[in-house]
Amino acid sequence: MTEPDGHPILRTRNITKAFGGLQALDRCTLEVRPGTITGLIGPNGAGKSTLFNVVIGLFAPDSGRVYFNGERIDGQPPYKLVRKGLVKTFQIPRELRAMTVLENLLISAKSVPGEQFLNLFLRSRRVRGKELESQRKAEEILRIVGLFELRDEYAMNLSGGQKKLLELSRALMSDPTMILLDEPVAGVNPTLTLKILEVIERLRRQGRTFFLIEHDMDVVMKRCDWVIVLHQGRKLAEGTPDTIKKDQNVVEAYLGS
Amino acid sequence: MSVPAPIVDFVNFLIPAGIFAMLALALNIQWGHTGLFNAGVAAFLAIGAYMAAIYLTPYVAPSIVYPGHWGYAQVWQPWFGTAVAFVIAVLLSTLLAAFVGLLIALPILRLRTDYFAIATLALAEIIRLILTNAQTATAGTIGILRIPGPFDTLLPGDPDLQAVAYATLVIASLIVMFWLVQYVTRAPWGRVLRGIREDEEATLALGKNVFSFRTQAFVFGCALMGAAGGFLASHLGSITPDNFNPLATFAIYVMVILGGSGNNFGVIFGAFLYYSLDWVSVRIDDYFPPALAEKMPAIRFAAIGVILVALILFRPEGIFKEKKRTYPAVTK
Amino acid sequence: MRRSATEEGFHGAPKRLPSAATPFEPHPNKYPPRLHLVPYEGGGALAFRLPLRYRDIAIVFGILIASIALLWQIWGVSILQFLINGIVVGSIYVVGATGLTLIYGIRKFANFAHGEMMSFGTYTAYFINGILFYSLGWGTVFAIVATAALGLLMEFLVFRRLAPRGAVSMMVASIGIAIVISGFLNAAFGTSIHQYDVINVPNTPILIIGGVVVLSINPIRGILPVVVGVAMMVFLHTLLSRTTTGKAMRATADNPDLARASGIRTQRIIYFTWGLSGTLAGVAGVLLGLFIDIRPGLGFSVLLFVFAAVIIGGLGSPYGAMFGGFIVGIAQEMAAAVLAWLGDPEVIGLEQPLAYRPVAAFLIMIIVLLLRPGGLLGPTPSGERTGRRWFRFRKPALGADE
Repeated sequence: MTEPDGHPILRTRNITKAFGGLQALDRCTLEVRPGTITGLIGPNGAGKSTLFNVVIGLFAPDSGRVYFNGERIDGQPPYKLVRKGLVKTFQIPRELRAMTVLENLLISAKSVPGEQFLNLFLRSRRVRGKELESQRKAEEILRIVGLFELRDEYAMNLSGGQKKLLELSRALMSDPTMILLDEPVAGVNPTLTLKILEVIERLRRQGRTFFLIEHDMDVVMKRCDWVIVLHQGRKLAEGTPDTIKKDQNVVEAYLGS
Repeated sequence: MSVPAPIVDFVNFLIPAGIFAMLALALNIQWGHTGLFNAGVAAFLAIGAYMAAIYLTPYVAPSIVYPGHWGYAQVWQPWFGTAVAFVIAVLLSTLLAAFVGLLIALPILRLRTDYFAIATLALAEIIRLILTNAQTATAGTIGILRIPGPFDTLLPGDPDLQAVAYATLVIASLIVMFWLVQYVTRAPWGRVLRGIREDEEATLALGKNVFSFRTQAFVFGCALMGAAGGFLASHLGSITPDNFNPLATFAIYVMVILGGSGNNFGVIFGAFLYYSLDWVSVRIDDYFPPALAEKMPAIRFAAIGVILVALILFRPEGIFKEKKRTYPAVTK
Repeated sequence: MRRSATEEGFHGAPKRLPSAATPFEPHPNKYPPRLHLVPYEGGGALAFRLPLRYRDIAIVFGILIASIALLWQIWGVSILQFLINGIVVGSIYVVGATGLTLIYGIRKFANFAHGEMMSFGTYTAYFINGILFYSLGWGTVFAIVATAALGLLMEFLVFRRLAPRGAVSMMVASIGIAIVISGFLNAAFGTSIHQYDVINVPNTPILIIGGVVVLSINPIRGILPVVVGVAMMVFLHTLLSRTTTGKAMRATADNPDLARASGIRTQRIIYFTWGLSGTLAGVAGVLLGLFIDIRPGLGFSVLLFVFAAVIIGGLGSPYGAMFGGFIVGIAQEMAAAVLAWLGDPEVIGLEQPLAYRPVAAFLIMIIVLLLRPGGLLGPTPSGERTGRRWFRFRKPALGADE
């Protein structure tokens, strides 16, 4: 599941992406090491969300490459990447509104035989078996994050913080090796924030890698093993939280923006 | 055997209502569950109907009085009766409609809802043009006549009894379709469709091949529409391109929205309700002075529009809301 | 307050409003000002910018010239008659399409009732002209007033309330409205075919070779639509680029919240746009009545062509609609040339060849939808050319904020 230490689990090389006249990513090259909680910070407009979208396959880069676990993945659609163990959450939660919390999780499971039309008729027993399994897993995850009581609520009735938890829970359903979190605790109350961060830490101990975009410097400094700073579409600096805090270039970039 | 008149009336209500219900179910998969606005329902119905008609009737060569049409009956008539032929015809209709649906889907299924609606409308119009103008194949605007029903050889000479038997067949088929659609939409497959309807990009990011699922939903729906077309051909006995104008498409939308889009039982209810209203409104024509009665079809048409707008404004979820799907807990 | 599962969205409605033609806002510097300046940042769907796709427009003209050259082999100089007819028909589509695209730009949905609005204009003019026997000029005036009022009524009763629910709800509602108008016209005027009470003027010859009139155009059914069409284009252009109202329209279409914050009375602008759309629909309807028989189903039969024109030109772009209108008209008539040739038994012997004319327009529309979903005069969403085919939802791009 994880690469031997020293090999990055995620690597981008010279990723370039422009929207019309806006250069979002400009030869962005960076690496994420397995089993870490790596933070991605930078002033607004630095290209952080765009980078995530490119990595997960929602955008194709204009040029450049992305490698996951040594395999080249740029240009591949998200559904192939989820199968390989790479998922992303959205900054603004994209819950499936008219579906229950439990359904939101069930749909996030991967390799579900019941999703193939023919299997519904030819392999109905396997379909049912996997359904129960998925449900078991979903309920477990919901208990961990504290959403179990709300499992039959329509997702749109959740509070903002609960929706963030749901985003995270959905990402976990597919048993990912690496999770890209886009501002997982932005706008969330302190109690829930703590819970989310605990869950992340717990999962990291299981060997999963987290790459997260955050603006809350407290979170970044306290929780991240490694921080990468993005500015104007490329990597400005990287290092431990302490190193980054003291880096002159980083300070300037934030002040100047 | 003579069948009492009220039963014959009822049966003649049940058959078209049942066929509409099939169409509503099919559209519910495309629109209610997946969010695909297929504005070409009538075209797929027509494909199914014409396929069945061509299979069930003999070839007629063009002449001065009649454009002629393709026909296949002369091939199977020595071998089996209309019952078996009907089954085959419906199967062929289903397959052809599914195939055309697949062809159409591939280029246009990536489009956004409103573009998709326009594209399907355009393609439906093309299909209608072909059916109207390929006259040696389809007999153009005069249409294909004398389409037999399944019970013509089994219950000869008794149209009433044939009607009763046909109604039973239609309702039985509808029940089978309903069961099929329920099963499929309650399964994980249906869940992905609903996810696509709710938020396509999120569902994509969750690891689902959205394009593939949309295609499957579309083709499945078209297949059911084709089957309904087969039933329609035998019921009407003769079909012309006029039977399949865009009004038919939008009537089905009213049925689906009225009954409750997303709810399989709801849309069947909506179909029956709509058809009942339509049936009643035709009957009360007789109570109006002739000048007004003449305008009734147009007024009815306008009324459909009013109902549709009112539904969208005030009760878009319809009579039967989509059921919340809950699962009994499996862990403690 | 009890919330239903579908409180905020009509079942199946996208929960996020799509932006008009452009999935994203192009950076102003990408489109250097040529004749007019983009007045505010971002350009936008209705901003007057010279289209950047010179290459695509050149391709279109190239195809046109090539088709004419090819068909010259079969038809000789008569092929130009098809071209003339195409321009005439195209003018009507232009007027209709600009009305439709304005609504798309400002309310962000495809107004399926536009065909019936045009039909409403046709029938109003017929009522004044064919039943009350006033001149067609008066008929046109009434048609404009009536159709504009119709548009305002539609906004007031229906679309004002549906706007928060998304484009799909409004689209379905517009279908319902189309059915209502169609039924009403049918009930009011019956199913028989009518015509305007207008003198029949003979065609004006344009080109005579050896005593035979090879190219001609009819003053009323030919020159008039073109003149009116061009006049409408000029009027619209002036309105959009030089008047305050026009700029307010562009601003509202581009970014309603920003427009409102800048002090523009957006609801008024929206009403104004409906009135304008209705006016254009009314004029198009009157011209249409000159051209084809007035019968029920008129609206629907023309709707698809108008949609095709709008899509080809780019949803939300009035200049695109003008371009698209002519393309559809010319394509239709050139297709007639090809189809007539195909109908010749020595070629294929296609039955009823001319009935397939719409197919040409639709095919072009579908090709444009596939290759250039923003229309020929819209920007290409980036990320479509590079990368593979699997992700091409024509929706607002994600994450363009960071």
